[in-house]
Amino acid sequence: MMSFSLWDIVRNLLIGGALTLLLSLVAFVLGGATGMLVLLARIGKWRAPRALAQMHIELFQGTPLLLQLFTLFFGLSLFGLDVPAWLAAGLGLTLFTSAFLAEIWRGCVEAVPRGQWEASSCLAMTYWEQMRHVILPQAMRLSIAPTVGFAVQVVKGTAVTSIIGFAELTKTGSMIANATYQPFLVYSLVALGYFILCYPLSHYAQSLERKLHAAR
Amino acid sequence: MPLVSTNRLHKFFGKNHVLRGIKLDVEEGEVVTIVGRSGSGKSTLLRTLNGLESIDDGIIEVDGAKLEVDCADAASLRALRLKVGMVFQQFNLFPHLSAGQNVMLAPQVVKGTAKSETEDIARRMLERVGLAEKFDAFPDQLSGGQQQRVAVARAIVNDPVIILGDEPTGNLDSRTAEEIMALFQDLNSAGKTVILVTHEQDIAEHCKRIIRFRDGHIISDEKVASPADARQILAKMPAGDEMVTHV
Ligand SMILES: Nc1ncnc2c1ncn2[C@@H]1O[C@H](COP(=O)(O)OP(=O)(O)OP(=O)(O)O)[C@@H](O)[C@H]1O
Ligand SMILES: [Mg+2]
Repeated sequence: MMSFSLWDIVRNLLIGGALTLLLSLVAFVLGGATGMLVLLARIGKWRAPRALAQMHIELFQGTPLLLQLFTLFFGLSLFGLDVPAWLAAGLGLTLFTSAFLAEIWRGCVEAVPRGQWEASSCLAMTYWEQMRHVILPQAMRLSIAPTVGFAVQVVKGTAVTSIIGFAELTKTGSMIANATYQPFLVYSLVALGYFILCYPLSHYAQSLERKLHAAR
Repeated sequence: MPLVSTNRLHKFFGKNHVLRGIKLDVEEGEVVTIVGRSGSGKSTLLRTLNGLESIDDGIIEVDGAKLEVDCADAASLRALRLKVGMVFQQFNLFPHLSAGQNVMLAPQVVKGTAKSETEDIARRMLERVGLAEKFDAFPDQLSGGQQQRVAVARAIVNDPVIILGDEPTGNLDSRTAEEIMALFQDLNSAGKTVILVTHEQDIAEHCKRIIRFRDGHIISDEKVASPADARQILAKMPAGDEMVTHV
C-alpha cells in the first residue's frame, strides 16, 4: 500500500482547490456576461427575447444544479457529443450563474426609482441611453453586495461538479480519503479550503453592504 | 399660432377616464398654472405634453412638434422632448452624478456635443440658477432648494421653448418656494413659456393665467390681472441664507 504524508494530502488538495477557484472564476465571469445579456432581454421591450430570458431564468433557478450538470453531461453524449467533465462543469455553472445573476440584477434595476426614468425621458434620451447613463450605474451600485454574496454560492456550488468526475476540491478530497482511510482529516481540510475561499468574499459582501448604507 | 395646442385630448388608466377631451392653447410667453383637486388629472395633463404619458385620443402640438395617438414614434417624441423641459416635485436629480454632470448629460448624450463644450454650457446653466459654485457637489450634498435649481438648470439645457413643473415647490419651505418661483419668472422674462401644476393658491397667484381642473375637465380659465412678483415678495421676507440670482 502507498503511504501518504500530510504534505502529500495537502499538495493534492491544493491542486483541487486551484481547480475549484478556476472553475468559480470561469463560471462567474462567463455567467456574469451571459447574465447581463439575459437581464437586458428580460427587462427589455421585445417580447420574444423577454420570454426566452424568463424561461432561461425559471429553468435554471427551478431545477437542482446537480440535475443540470447530469443533463449536460449525459444528455449531450446521447447526441454523440463527448463532453469532458470540465466542459460540462464550466458550462453548467455558467448557465446556473447567469440565471441567478440576471434575477438579482433585475431586482436592482427595478429598485431604481421611476423618477429617474422620467427625468431622463424628459431630456429626450433613448431607452439605451437611459440604461447606460442613468439606470445601470445606479443599479450596479445596489447590486455589488448581493453579487459578491452570490459569488460565495458559486464557489460552494462547484462542489457539485465532483459528481460528474471533475477533479476539483471535493472530488480530490474524496479520492484521497478513499486512498488514505483518513476521511475525517481529509474532509476537514477540504472544508477548510472552501472556508478560505468563501470567508473573504462573504466578509467583503458584508462590509460593502455596510458601506453602501452609509454612503450615497 | 399658439405655442402649445391640444385638442380632444383623452386619457384612460384602465377604466378610469382621466382626461376627458381637453382643449388647451398656450401662447408664447405665458405663465400658466393648472390647479384643482387631488386626482383631477393635473399631472396627467402636464405629462402628456412631453409624452411621459401616452394619449388615447386627440392631438398635441408644441411649437410645430406633433404627437398624435397612433404616431408617437421615437423621432417625433424626441423632437417634442427637445422643446419641453420638465421639473418635478421630487427633483429627480441623478444621484450618481454631480450637479454639473446632471446638467451636462443631455447635451453630451442626446446632442453629441463635445465634452469640453458641454462643460461650459453646464457652468453657464448653473450660473443662471445661482449655483455656479456647486458644479462638483452631488445631489445629496445639496439642500432641497439647491437641488431644484440644479433640476431647473438641467431642464433648460436643451434650450426648450417650454418649461413644465409638476408641483415644483411642493417639497420646499415658503421662502425657498418663492425663490424657485422667482427663477421661473426670470426664465419667463427671458422668453420661456412656463406651465406649472400646483396645489397652493399663493403659488398660483404668481402666474399670468390660472386654469382650474375638475374630473378631467377644464372648468375655468382666467387671466390674472397682476401676478405676484416673487422678487418683491422675497424682498419683504426675512432674509434666508440662499442667494437669489439673476437670469
Ligand atoms: N400611472 C397611473 N396608473 C394608473 N392610474 C393613474 C396613474 N397615474 C395617475 N393615475 C390616476 O389618474 C387620476 C389622475 O391622476 P393625476 O396624478 O393626474 O392627478 P393630480 O390632479 O395630479 O392629483 P395630485 O394633486 O394628487 O397630484 C387619479 O385617479 C390617479 O389615480
Ligand atoms: Mg399631481
